[in-house]
Amino acid sequence: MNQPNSLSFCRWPNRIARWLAVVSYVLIFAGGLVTTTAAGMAVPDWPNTYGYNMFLYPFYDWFFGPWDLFVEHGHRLLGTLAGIFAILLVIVTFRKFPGTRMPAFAIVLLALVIFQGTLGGVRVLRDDRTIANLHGVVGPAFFALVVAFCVISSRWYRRNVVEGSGAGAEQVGTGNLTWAQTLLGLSFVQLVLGSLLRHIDVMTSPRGFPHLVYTHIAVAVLLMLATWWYWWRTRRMSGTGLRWPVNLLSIVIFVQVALGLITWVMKYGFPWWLDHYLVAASFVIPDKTMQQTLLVTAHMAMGSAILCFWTVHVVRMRGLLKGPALQ
Amino acid sequence: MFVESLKCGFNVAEVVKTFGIFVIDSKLLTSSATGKLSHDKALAMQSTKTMTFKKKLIRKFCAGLGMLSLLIAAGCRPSTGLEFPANEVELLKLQRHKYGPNEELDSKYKDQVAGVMAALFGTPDEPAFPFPANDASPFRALVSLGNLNASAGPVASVKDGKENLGLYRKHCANCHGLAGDGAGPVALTLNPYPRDFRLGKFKFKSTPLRVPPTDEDLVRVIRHGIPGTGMPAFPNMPPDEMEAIVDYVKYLAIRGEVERRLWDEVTSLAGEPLAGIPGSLDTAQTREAFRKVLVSDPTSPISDILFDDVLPRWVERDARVSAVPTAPAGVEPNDAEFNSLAGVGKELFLGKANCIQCHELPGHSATQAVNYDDWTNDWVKTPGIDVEDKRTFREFLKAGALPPRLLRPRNLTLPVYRGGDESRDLYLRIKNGIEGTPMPSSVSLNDEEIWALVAFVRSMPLK
Repeated sequence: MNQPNSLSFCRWPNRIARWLAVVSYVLIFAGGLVTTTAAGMAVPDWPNTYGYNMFLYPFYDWFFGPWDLFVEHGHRLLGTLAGIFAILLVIVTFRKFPGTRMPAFAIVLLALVIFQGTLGGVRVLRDDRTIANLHGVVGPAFFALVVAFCVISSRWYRRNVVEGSGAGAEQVGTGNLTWAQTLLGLSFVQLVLGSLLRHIDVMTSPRGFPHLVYTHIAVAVLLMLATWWYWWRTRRMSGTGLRWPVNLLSIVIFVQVALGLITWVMKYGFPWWLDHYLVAASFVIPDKTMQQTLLVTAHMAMGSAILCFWTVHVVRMRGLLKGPALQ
Repeated sequence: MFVESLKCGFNVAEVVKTFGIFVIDSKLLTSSATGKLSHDKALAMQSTKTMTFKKKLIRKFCAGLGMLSLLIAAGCRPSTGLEFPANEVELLKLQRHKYGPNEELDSKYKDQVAGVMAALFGTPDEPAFPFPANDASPFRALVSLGNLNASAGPVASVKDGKENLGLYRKHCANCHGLAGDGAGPVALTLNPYPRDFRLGKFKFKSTPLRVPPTDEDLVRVIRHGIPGTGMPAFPNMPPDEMEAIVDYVKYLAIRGEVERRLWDEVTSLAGEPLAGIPGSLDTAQTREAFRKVLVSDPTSPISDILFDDVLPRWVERDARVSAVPTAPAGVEPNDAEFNSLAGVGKELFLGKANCIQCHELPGHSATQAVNYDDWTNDWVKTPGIDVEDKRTFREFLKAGALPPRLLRPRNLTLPVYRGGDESRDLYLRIKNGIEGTPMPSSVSLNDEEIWALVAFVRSMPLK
């Protein structure tokens, strides 16, 4: 078996993985648009689109048709693009990383794309909210795994982890890794809670929803405080390639909490105890307007961005502390 | 959600087995991290296992995902076949009013009422309407079955996305509930609560108290929303979809009123109005046949409820719209006479009209007692209920009632008027009151006095 150090470095798997990550993120945003505008059932059949093969559906009818159709069909096309990148990734990884576990990882990614596509199709065919929920959770999980692949196949990882020439491992400390992994996990839990809130079923008891909301808020506050605390705790980690994701997270988490509050106001209005202020008392919820759609979807997409930054941080730190992964 | 997924029947053991390989891997690394194994040794152990691990990983992961996909596709139930939930709160209230402490209505009558309601109004997926047999009847124009079908059922699109279905579930049901009971999933997080249509009461309308709103009133609320509440504006909704939703709101209100009247009759006459009605009407065909029987028998109590009580109110509403006289000079803030008319209005506000009883003014406190709206008063005035003591109404909460909340009279020092901010709207609010709330109609005020009050209300935010 080839040793990691003997492999000649090739950037193509990393390049394709980066493209896959970009497409996946756009796909997550498009999926968010689908949910925000309740366009999930805009196309009743799957894998066809109104009887056409998905790729042969008339461009004019799609691009200049109703918004719901534009978003839903576009989401499907983006999904197939992600699938194509995942196939390319498998091929290139098998050629360029033989004798490592990277091809297996690429296959897992491809399997997840197929699984996610199937979930999306089944969600349409069965019109099932539970599956919509699962679909909404698997997307960000897949995105985080693609990001992990990007990190492991990157030049930074090669230089600092695989070849072990990078300094700074001594600055990291295993305690930080535990905290970072915990916060990564908690970010995912928060994403699951958000997905549950977004895919609420009409038959759900009104008593369940407030509990979900309060839990989502509590976890958001906890995550924000913990992220800032972690940022302070790791302030001496500079120069290791680990610091920038934490710097970004300390800002993004605040933006995300602000977006969460805006999302609530955009969907349900200001809390009643603010109604002696003119801005709250006069606010009318602008349902399904572009303004509401983009702000609510941005909150959802920012959740995946947070997951991405934690993933970069954790995978890099694990590499420095525990040696190269999947080699 | 994941617990619900298990209902789909996928093999949990297989999924655990599939993902278990990651657990094994992480255990190995954890052992390394905690010092039980040296780091190099742990890596060496892993590298010797790489080939078998890779094969296992691919095989198990793909098998697990494939199985999960297939079983979800095969085993899950679609969200169709829904029934409207019965108005349990109304039944509980009526039983408390009419029956002894340990008495309750025979459950066979509950099934019969559910059957009658399904026959008359169909289901959330397949709506029906008790149109009279006579084609010339004015009741026939109340709602269009095509509009009801467009609003009912799950969200869907046809004709290349150009025709949308399931409009009520798409836009309204999360707040107003499937049956229009105002108890949708998000209802408890909103204040005021979403409207419960089943009482047939609507706040902001151009008709007097106890007369339903016109279609234009409903369109206006949906199009522009209600400021400071959870009711959104739908500025981009196409007119045909708006019309369909308005018809569906009327349908839910009429259905709710009929159900309430039916429960009232049945609990008063110990089930007598249901004599001869079959206990089971579980197909669309039997329901339709039974509906024809019900609507064509003028002697049946159900026919009385429909055609002599509930539907006539809805048919007459257009003729009952309150006329708004031309506003005199001084009502608008830029009129020269505005201040003098507002001064007259202030005298009325503090005196004859007694608005100060509820609406505070700077320097004048409200004297109002604790108040609830009609949607709460409807059941909290049941014998034995003390709104201060949750134990006395826990049973109602279990039946679906939302916890009582005190009303907050409008703060008139802000230029925000939920029913519309034109002088005409303010005139109608003062003239007709606000249905379902303690805001009364002003029977003792003439038009000049109402306009003076409008001027004063308009002047308050300017001070």
